[in-house]
Amino acid sequence: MDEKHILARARHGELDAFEELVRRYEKRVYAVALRSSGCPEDAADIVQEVFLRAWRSIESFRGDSGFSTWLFRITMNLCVDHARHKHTQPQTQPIVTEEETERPLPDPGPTPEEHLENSELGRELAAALDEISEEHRRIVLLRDVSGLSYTEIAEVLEISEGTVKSRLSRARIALRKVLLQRGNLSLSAASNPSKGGGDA
Amino acid sequence: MSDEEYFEQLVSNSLDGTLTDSEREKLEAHLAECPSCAALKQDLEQMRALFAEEADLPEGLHESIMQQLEQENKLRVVQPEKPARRMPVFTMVAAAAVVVLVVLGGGLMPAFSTVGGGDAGASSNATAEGAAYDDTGAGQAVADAAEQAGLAENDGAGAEQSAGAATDATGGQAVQSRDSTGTSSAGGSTTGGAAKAGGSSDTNGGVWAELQPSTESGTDAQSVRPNAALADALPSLTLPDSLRGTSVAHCYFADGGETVPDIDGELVSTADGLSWFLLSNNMTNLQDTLGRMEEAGFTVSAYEDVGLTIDSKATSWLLIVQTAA
Repeated sequence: MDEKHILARARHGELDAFEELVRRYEKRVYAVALRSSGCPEDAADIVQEVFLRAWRSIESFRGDSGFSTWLFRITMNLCVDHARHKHTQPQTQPIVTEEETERPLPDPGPTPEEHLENSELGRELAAALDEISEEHRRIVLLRDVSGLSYTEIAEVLEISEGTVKSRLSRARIALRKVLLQRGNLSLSAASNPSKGGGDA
Repeated sequence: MSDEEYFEQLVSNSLDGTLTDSEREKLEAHLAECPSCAALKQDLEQMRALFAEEADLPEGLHESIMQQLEQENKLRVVQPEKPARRMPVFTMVAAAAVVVLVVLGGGLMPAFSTVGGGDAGASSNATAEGAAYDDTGAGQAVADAAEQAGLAENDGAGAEQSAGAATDATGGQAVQSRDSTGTSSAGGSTTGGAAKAGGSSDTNGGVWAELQPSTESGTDAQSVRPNAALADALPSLTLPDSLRGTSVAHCYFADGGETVPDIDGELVSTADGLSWFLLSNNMTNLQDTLGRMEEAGFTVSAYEDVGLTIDSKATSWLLIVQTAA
């Protein structure tokens, strides 16, 4: 059934219709929450809260933007709230701004192979995302995890598509630098110092 | 944009398949002679693959989501047999053996606790709604307020207005509660919450404002309407002093049962035949507790006009249980 009709039914309080929307989006919302939080339990909590808030607000969803745009906006806000809350807790390692990314390389630590064990991957990606700016984190999550188009990202973030392109490029480069420093990319750190993540 | 930035952006765009033919040709030519950009492309592709790795939905999460929504949905339904209870509130409370289990979310939202610290308009609106309650003396005013909130949303007046209207309804309930029970500080606290929600919308504006009340301030304006509609069915309760100024994630009222099951929470107060319980705010505790109450023959309803700030991020929730006479 097309999403417009499902939405219309959901807005009239039909939980069955809303469940279809949950089915369509829960996996992507969970992926974003997991990559953002790095913790399956936290991600599950975030997903529950996303759909609870969406259900509570569905009647007021005006359809000016797509449902996915609306839903991922809720998701991003909750992920950001979660990250902020987490940052108020004691940190095991410093969180730095991108202006500070010229700091010395950290200890080598585990090898890339060890890092990329599945059990570690989520936490490593989340930790790397923690080290880039909120603006960059949002756009990477929206594009590379939730798979939104440039147009949808532009709607979610209320920026132009041109800005989406340039910001996404800078965000990916910044994230690449962090991943290289953390030993999570096994490729070209030494061969490519100039593209290590200087963010305009 | 420098040449370097230009080609970095093309590399990034190439991952998303958004290059034009001309851009693709330029990039390919550049990559053939620029190892640095070639390495960048390789790394970004690897990063993309890392992010794209499947994150399987945990087993049972879908069911858990739906269970939570069904619980929420049940609370939206105004139960037909309840409205008659609105009138004999005080008599009933006095005469019946009343056990109120109140589970309070303990987290205090600092902005919300700024009593009366916000928009004067919000406060006066709340007062006006409160007066309406006094005039009609029944739940109809609550329903009207809820309807107004709904209309404000539907007529395209904007998210900011809808958030304001919905929270005004909350303020109205708080004022009603104050007028009838004398818990003025609780009313003030909730009004502060309304002001905060409005301020947050003002600051952010635009499309973001649509979500600010629920995501930023923790006040879910939308959740107020169904509960406002329910309020006419439930008795007014006097908030114990010990709970004033407290924020709770949820507040539920249970009645109709005779024997109260074990409650995994703190008994905060028992006064005037009411017992107030504060419980830890997590979905398991909430669902288990409400489930046990229902199994014990109680009818559970949302009760958010008790004069407390409802903040979804609070660490505790409140349950009010009334046993059959």
